Amino acid sequence: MKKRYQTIIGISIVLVFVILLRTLGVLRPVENMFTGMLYSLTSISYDAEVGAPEHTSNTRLSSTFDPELMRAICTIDTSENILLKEENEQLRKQLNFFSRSRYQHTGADVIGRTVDPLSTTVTINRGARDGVARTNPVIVGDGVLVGTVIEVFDSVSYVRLINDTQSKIGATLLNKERTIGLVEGGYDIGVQMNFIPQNEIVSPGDMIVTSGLTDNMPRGLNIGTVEYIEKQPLEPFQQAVLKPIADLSYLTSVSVIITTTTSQE
Amino acid sequence: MFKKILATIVYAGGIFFLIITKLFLMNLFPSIFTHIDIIMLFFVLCIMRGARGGIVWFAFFTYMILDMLTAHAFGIELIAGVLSVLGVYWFFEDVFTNLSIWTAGILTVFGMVVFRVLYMVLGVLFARIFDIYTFSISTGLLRDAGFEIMMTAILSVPLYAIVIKMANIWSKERIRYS
Repeated sequence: MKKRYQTIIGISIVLVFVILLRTLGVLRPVENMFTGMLYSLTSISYDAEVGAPEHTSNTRLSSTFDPELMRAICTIDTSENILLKEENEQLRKQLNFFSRSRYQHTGADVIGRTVDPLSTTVTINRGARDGVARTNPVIVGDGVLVGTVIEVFDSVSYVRLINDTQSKIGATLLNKERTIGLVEGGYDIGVQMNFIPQNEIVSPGDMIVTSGLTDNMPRGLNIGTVEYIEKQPLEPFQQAVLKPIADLSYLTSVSVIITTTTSQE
Repeated sequence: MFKKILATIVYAGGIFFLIITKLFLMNLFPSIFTHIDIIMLFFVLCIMRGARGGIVWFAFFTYMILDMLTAHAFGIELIAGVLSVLGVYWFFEDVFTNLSIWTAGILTVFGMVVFRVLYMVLGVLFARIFDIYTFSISTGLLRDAGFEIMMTAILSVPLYAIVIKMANIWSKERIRYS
C-alpha cells in the first residue's frame, strides 16, 4: 500500500511539472512540431472522407490505354470537377462577402478533426504566423458562421464548430421583435437557440444571425434558420431548434475573420 | 545498453503508431466509429496480456501528445488518461484478476468511466482556473460519453478474444518448431 501512495505522489509531481512547463510555454516548440507533423499526415484521410479534390492528379493520364481504366478515370475526373466547382463556388461567395464587408481575413483549408470524440472541433492550416488569434470567427460562403478559433499554434489552429457541446454564441432572431438568445451546440448534429422569452413570436424559417454580444464576434453573420420550436407552458423560455446554413460535416475551405476593423478606418 | 535503446525506439514508434491510428479513425470513419477509444482499448489489452508498471509511463507519453492535439486546456486528457490507466492496472491486479473476455469488457468500462469522470471534473476545474477556457457539462456531453463507453466496451470483448486466439496460435507454432 505504501508503494502505491508513492506511485501516486510520484505521478502527480510529474503531471504538475509537465502542466507547469506547458503553461510557461517551454513545451511550445514540441507542440508546434507534433501538431504540424501529425496534421499534415492526417489531412490525407480528412480529404478522403469529405471528398476534397486532389490537386495533383494529372499524372494518371500517362498510363497505357485501357478502355475500362479510362472510363474509371473519366468518372473520377468528373466527380473531381464537381467538387472543384463546389469549392470554387464557395470561394467566390467568400470573396464577394469580404469585398462588401469591412473585415480583415485570411483563407484557410480544413485539414482534419481533433482527436477528442466528445468535441466537434476541426484543424485549419493557418496559425499565429498568419495573424490568427483565439476567439476569431470562422466563416464559409456568404458570411455563414461555422465556428470560432479556440487554440492557435504557429502554423495550425483549432476551430470549435457551432454544434460543439461547449459552443455558445450570442444571436439575434430576425423576427419582428429581433429576439436575442444564445445559440448552443450539442444536440446531435443540430444547434439550438436558447433563452428566447415565452412571449416572443418565433416561426419556422426565421433567420438567425450573430448578435455581436459575444466577445470578438461581429454582428450579422448568418448562423441558420429555425426548424421548429420547443415550448413548455410553465417554462420562462422557449427553444428554437436550428438548421445550420453550412454543412458542418463537409468543410474544406473557410475564412478566418482576423479583425473587424477596416483598413480605411 | 543496446537493448534499452532498442526498447525506447520501439516504445516511441508504438506511441506514434497509436496516435496516427486514432487520428485516422477520427478523420476517415463515420461518427459511430469515432467514438471508439482505441487508446484505452490498447492499454487494457496490454495490461491483460501481462504488461508491468511501465505501461503507465507509456500511457503518460501517449496522453501527453494526445493532449497537445485536443482543443481543450492542456492537462485534462493527460491527467485523466494516466490516472485511468493506473486505475485499470491496479483494478486488474487486485479485483478482476482472471483472464476472460468479460474481464476485458469490465476493465474497459471501468477505465473509460474513470477517464470520462476525471475529464469532466478537470474540465470544469480548469475552466474556473484559466478564464480563457470554457467547459460545461451538458446532456449532449453526457450522452456522447455514454455512447463512447458503450462502443469501446462492446469492441473490447471480440478484440480480446482475437488477441487470445492469435497468442494461442503463435505459442502452438513455437512449441512445434522448438
